[in-house]
Amino acid sequence: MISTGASKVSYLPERPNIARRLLIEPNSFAWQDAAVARLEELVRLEKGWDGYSASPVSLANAAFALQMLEVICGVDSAPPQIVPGFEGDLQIEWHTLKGDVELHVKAPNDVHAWRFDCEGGAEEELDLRNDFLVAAQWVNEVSEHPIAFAAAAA
Amino acid sequence: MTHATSRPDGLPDFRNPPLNEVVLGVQFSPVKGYQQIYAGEVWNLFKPEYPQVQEMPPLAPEFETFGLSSPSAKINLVTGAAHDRFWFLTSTGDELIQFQHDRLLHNWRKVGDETNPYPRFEAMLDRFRSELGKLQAYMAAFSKPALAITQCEVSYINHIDVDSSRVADWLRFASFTNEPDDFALNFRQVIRDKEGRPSARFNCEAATGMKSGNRQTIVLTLSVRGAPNGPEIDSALDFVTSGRNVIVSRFAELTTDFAHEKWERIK
Amino acid sequence: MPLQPPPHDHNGEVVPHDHDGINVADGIIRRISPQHLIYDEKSGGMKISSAAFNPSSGPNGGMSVDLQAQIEEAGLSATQYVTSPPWLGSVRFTAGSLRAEGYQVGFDPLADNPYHGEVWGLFTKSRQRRLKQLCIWFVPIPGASI
Repeated sequence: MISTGASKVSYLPERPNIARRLLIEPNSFAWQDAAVARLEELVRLEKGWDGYSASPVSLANAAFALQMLEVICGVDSAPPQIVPGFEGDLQIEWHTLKGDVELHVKAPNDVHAWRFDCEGGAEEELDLRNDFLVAAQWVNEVSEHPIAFAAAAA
Repeated sequence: MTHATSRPDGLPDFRNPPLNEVVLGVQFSPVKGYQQIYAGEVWNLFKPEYPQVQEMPPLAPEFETFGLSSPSAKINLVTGAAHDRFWFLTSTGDELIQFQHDRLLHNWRKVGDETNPYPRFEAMLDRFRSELGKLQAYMAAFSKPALAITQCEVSYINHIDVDSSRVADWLRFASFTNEPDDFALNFRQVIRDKEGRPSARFNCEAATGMKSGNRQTIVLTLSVRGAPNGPEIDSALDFVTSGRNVIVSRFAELTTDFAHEKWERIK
Repeated sequence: MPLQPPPHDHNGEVVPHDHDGINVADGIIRRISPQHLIYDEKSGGMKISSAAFNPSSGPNGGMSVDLQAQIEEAGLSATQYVTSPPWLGSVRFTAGSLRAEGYQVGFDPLADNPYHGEVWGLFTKSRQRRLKQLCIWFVPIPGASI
């Protein structure tokens, strides 16, 4: 845990001379490597990458998205797909045979969640802050190997 | 809720606790238009009381999130164009403000012969409130709303001089059949609001250390982190106040009666 | 015929409007970046993400588009004009189809894009999916469906 205490600090390693990067440790799940690589790509997008005037994904949103994925994705979760927004925001998506989940990270603590269930045809939308238990349930349901879900987990 | 300016009655209190450092902090969305070149102007806001400055590597963005499991990833930010973290220190170095483009923290710590008294939470909170207000007023020149606070934290760092006594003499949650040469452990707990929704995370870290004079020490760090109810300063201070109350209560629960006697518990 | 300048607010920003110089059948082109392609197991291929149909933020924020008629009136090839940077694809609506869904289609010339327009309205998830149904490829991205 990175500390903000003056006496107990966790100093960063020497900074390489490259564009923005996110380093994450430890990498315990398969989806993490791909998600981190993708987020690194998105924070490095050039201004106007969309042909108009879009900005790259902001570092704060990328960091928040990663912390969000940490509490949503299990070992066997379908890997998330991540696309940039136009104002530093981003969207994380799953599109499987069982359904669709889209989480639009507008800003830290400001996420619009949407899902479509192929089986029942149900659609749902929610605004979430930092409690993603519902989103974790949705992702679990569209994943190939859903786990027995502990409703009280946090 | 309005943040308390006086100590709650039922909160445990000690005449001589092993408190070594206290940190109050907020993280906010980077303000549009602000650049590191302006850091000197930010220092000017605080310079009369904080005349010294040091430069440190930046802190990565941190967010407490809740869901299926506890987040385990440590995120380090490496960027070719980072805003450094600046420490603005008092002349004695016992209090400091930590500033970067998305963070403001206020630390008190023991320095030198470690006899400098703890100013108490309420006084620290008043100072932090004032500092946040100054920063907000300054940042308003760049963008409105000036400070959109996304995370808050409060940490109490204790240095427990243990001499040759056992860990279990001091900590209720750590007991060893064969006393280790050293240890490090941590645990986390979700803090829930009245509706049962997760609102913050309590962190406890304990590790052995050695202080000057070969003094065996347990460093016990208790923190509460999370998102405030709203992005404005008052909500952040409410969070920090609630966090302090949790920390002080847990400190009393996690440490032993033997320890309380040594630290002269008065409530 | 060149379009009349759009209305502006006191900050000089173009205000949302429906420009009567943009005709019903006029092509309204939306550039699509490969960054917005996602894989859908249901179709077994790449598709455009709903995120490609979001507006920009701000009080007057709309969805950026290029006005095909204005590009071609200037003697330029619309397919070449909108394929910038060169790896972009694009989709096409008609102004009429957008207006039928309740959107305003307006003119918002920029220094680096004098044929720039905006689409203002609601961009909820269901409306984004509806937009995907309304458009066709203008410059397709190989291997991707809408």
